[in-house]
Amino acid sequence: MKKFWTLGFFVFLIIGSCIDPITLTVNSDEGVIVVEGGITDKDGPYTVNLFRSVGVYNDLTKRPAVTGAFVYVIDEDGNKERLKDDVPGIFVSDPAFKAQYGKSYYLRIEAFGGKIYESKPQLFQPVDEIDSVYFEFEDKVDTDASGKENNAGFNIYLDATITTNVDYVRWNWTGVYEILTFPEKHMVNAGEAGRIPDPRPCSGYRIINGIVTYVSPCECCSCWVTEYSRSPEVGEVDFYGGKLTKFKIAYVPATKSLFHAKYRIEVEQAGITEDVYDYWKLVKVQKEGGSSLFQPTSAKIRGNLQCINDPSAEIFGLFSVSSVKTKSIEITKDDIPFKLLPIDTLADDCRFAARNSSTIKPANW
Amino acid sequence: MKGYLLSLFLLYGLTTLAQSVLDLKLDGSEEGKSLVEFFDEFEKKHPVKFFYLPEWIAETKVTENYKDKTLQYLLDDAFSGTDIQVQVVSGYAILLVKDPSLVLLRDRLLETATKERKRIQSVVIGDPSAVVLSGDVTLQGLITDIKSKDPLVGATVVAQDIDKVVTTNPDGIFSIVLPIGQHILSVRYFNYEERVFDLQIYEDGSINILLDETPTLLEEIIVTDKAFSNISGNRGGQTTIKLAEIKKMPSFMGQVDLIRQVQTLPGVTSVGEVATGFNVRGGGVDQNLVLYDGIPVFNISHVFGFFSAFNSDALKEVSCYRGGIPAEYGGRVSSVLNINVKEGNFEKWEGNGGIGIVSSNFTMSGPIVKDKTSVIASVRASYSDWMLSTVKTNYQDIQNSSVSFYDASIKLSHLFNEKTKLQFTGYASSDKFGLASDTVYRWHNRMGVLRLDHSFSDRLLTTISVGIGNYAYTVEDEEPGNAYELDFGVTYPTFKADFNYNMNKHKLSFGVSSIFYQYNPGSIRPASEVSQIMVKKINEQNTMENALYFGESFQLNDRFNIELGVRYSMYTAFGPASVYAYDPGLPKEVSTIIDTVSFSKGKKIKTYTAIEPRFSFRYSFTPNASVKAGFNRIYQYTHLISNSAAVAPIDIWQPSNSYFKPQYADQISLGFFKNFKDDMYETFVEFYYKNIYDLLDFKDGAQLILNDHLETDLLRGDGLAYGFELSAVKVKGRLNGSLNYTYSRSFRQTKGNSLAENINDGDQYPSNFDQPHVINFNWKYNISKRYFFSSNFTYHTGRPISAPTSAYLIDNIPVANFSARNQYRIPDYHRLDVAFIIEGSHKRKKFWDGTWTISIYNVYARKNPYTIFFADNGNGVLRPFRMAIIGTAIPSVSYAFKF
Repeated sequence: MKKFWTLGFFVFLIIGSCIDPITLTVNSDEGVIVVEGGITDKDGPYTVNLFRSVGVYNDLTKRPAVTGAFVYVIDEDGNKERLKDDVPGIFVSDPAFKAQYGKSYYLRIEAFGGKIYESKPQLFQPVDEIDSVYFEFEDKVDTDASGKENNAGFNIYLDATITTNVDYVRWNWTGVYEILTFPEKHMVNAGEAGRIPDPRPCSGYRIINGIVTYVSPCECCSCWVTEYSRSPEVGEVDFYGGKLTKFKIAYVPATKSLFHAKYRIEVEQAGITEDVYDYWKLVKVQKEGGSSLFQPTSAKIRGNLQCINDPSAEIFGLFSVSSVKTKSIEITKDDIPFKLLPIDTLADDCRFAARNSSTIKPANW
Repeated sequence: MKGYLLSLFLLYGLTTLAQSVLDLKLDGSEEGKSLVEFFDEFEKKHPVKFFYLPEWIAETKVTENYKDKTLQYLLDDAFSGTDIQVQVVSGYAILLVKDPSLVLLRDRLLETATKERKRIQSVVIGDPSAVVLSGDVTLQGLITDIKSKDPLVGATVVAQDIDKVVTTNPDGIFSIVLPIGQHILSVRYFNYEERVFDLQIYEDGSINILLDETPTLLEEIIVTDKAFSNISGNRGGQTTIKLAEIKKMPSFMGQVDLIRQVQTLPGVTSVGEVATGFNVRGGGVDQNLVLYDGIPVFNISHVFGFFSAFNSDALKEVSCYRGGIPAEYGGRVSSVLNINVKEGNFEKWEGNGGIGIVSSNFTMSGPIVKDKTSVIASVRASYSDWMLSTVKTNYQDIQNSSVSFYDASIKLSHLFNEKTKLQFTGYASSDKFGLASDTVYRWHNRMGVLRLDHSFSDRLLTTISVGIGNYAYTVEDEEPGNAYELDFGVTYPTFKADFNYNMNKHKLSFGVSSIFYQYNPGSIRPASEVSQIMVKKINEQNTMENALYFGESFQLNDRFNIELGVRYSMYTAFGPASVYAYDPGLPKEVSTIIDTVSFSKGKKIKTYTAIEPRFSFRYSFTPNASVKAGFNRIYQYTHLISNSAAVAPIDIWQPSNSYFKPQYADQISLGFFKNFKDDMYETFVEFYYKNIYDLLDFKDGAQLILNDHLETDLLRGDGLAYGFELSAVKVKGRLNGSLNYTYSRSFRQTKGNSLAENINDGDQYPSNFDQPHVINFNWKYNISKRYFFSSNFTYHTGRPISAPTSAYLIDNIPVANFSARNQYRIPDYHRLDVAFIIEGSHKRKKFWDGTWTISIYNVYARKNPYTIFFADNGNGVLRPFRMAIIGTAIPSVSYAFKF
């Protein structure tokens, strides 16, 4: 069932059909408050982000922050924890604040202008550790007109046993890999002179007397790129009888860009509430349904919040209260049973080479 | 002496009225004499003289006693309704005059028929010498195909001299009331040679008429309402499709396709190329009753709707009822598609087949015992795996994937005698669709039915059929960690008994039907040792659908016909079952389950009964203009549960139970029908308005598969559909064709007791198949007797979709916020197809006859969107994309042969 969407792509390829972008005019409802985040059993502080939705054709990362709001996490006994937004849109709890298993918590947002939004109470319950995370190499060699192309990669699996009271689980993954670029080789067009050297300042090279000269160590040659799950993976504990074996959680292609050094993948298992499960399930339907031949009708996804003093006011997103366990593994170049081609020479700042690229080295790399 | 009498009578005539000779009383001695004898004797007894040609009345006898009745009375009896008129001249002379206009008309008709080389046959029914002196006699007849002996349904019998038209009933039988005497009858059936009878009829009688298929197809029409029945058919919204016509139309990948042709009828739409089934007058796909020789068929498609699951070579004809549905049919609220399978040839063996780029088919037909027992068997199978593997692609997945399907049909017929016939029909279709990596979909239909036809008399016919059907699908995933096998199925034994009683002006039909359904709503089991899938099985559901019906067709006269019917349906859902009980004050959710009620095997869980009135009416203003109206209420006890716009092979059929009431629809329709230029053009406009109640719709994000509490994911709603259909057909000529326009709207409204039980806040919203404007234009041009050019154009408004109106990131996952359901539309659909057909020579006696069809589907390569989906373009920005299933012009060549 999981692979259902591939069917769509399959059928039209055989008879020369196609997919291409079109323009659809809609009445945009951008500017609605979006809630993201919540509390976990990891160490605090905990954050809840409040941003606004953007038009469907806009860059999702350029999202306006919600300012001037008072945000509280309130437990079933009425104890209030205020989250403060020192950075616009990012509301942070006191580092000392801790949630207790077995208690319910809800979020209250008193927005500028008087609208008050509240989430449904979310019960905080512990979840088990992941039994193990492991990978298997899968060879998928295809040849095409231009020569040999590798489509090989790694399937990432997990084994888990759920013994606690949680009814629903969400699995998430974060991948990190290192890239190498050559910002000192950056060039610019200089009219009649053609392309001339223009090393990026962070490369540590300068043009001195017309010669590209080393002056200091490079600060933007090595970067670490973070990747995230593209689609939520959620499960009903009952459905799996509490035990999962070799559950495929991700696929990492064995390409020269990802495996310059190694690929680290961290898998997160979160015990979630029914509201949160329902939300992610709809997101998953939206992700997988979009390209399916038998497309389920995409639905409006309602989170677990609502405006309590104006029923017509919308609010998107989710306040989650969940127990989270993680496990990570590393896959190195040596796990690939063939030789990769050398990496491309990218003559620019490594931070521009990919989305979520940073020069900050992850811990224990 | 005579002169004396003459003068006497002149005097007498002056004093009394001239026609008083007609008032002369008879004495009873005339009984048993021939008319000639009587006239002779009467002349002797009375001062009167008859003038006539003896051959006009030579054979006529006086059979009654007319004592104390007048001469006028006897003459009226003898000649009214004939072409003989009585005139009194000079008070004593009685002239029998033949109406010259009638004689001329008949001569002219015969002359025309001779000129057109129609076969004219003289038939005498009854003994002219024993003729009764009364006006009307009834001629009944059976019209069959000369080869297969199949009854021809809807064939027309025209008494040309008196402009009277009747058509044959579903058993191929007609009944026409004629004045005693000579008539020119012409018998017509679409795609068959017309036969003309120079008939002399003197008493009630019957005739068997064999028609031969037209050797050339020049005058053949495309797809249209039957010739003549446009006006004289008793109900609007009914179309008969002849399979031979379809073969002359452009095809998709060389497949002659019944369902695609149905989709071009007025009032019928489809949501796209890969949509199983069709939508009739704003109704859902599950609301069409598709009968294959009387047994319902659940899945009518191969390859998810690309092709229909019926091999058209096996089929004789297909009737589609959209309105005024007769009481005989029930169980689906929107339409009936009644597919009749050909009978085998009773005289000689013959075969035909076709070779296309996707599949080939072959049909054999012939006598097992000549004139007694015949068989027809056909099979069609794909070889598209071969096609897939030749596709140039970089995707290993595709080259390793597989698509295959087949269908097979068999019909055995045995004639015990002229009155009793036994038939067996068997049908199977099967599909397999596999993806290289993991998932394999399989589905199949299977059915068999035994049918006994018996006529107790010329008036009473009965048909009894016993059959069984089965539809099932399986989805297999072979990826080890997740391997599973998912099954769904329904098996349904059926029994039906129909009776037709013909009393000339009144035709009665009545019967009973009974279907037992056993559903396996879904089960899943792990398909590998390491699979984490748990075994899960939803309990079987058993239901029984019984019905009694009664229909009466009353033909007051040639102009006015009314059909009244009523169907009483009874439905019961049986145990074993466990039914959840919910907190009555709260929406049905898993968290509001308060109890589970168990029902033992055979125990009634829920019973529904309903009375379904049916009505249709026709009034002809003139022989070529009529008005027709209809009303029907129909109940439906099984629901297709789907949360995709098009029907997927893994959709679930859910019978009614304690929570799901039967859906029902009330439809009224009114149409005006007019033919022009000697029936060369047929036109109509028909309006309809339909309310549908107790429809099921899914909640957003509903989990439908393997859900043993579906009532928590489905909501009750109502539907409304209305619109009109305009159709113009040119039936004859080298260039013929049809133009249909349909305006139709289809809405849903789901309003429950709480917010969670509403869709779109309880407001009315367009259904998935609300396509207001639909245009279908077909035409065919006969370049010569053997070369045809045909084409069709189709247009419809894009279907409604929900579209994202804003977007946001959450946990680094882009999420689109969608509008309320079905608030936007995909772009409009239009497509042009063309075909060029080369037939073999039309010599009657030759061993082999081949036809080439070269067609291009989607000539101008429009990328009609099947759906719009929204995808992250890699930078977290959502973009709408159009997915076109057919993105280019698709040429194909196919070869059909006959021997």
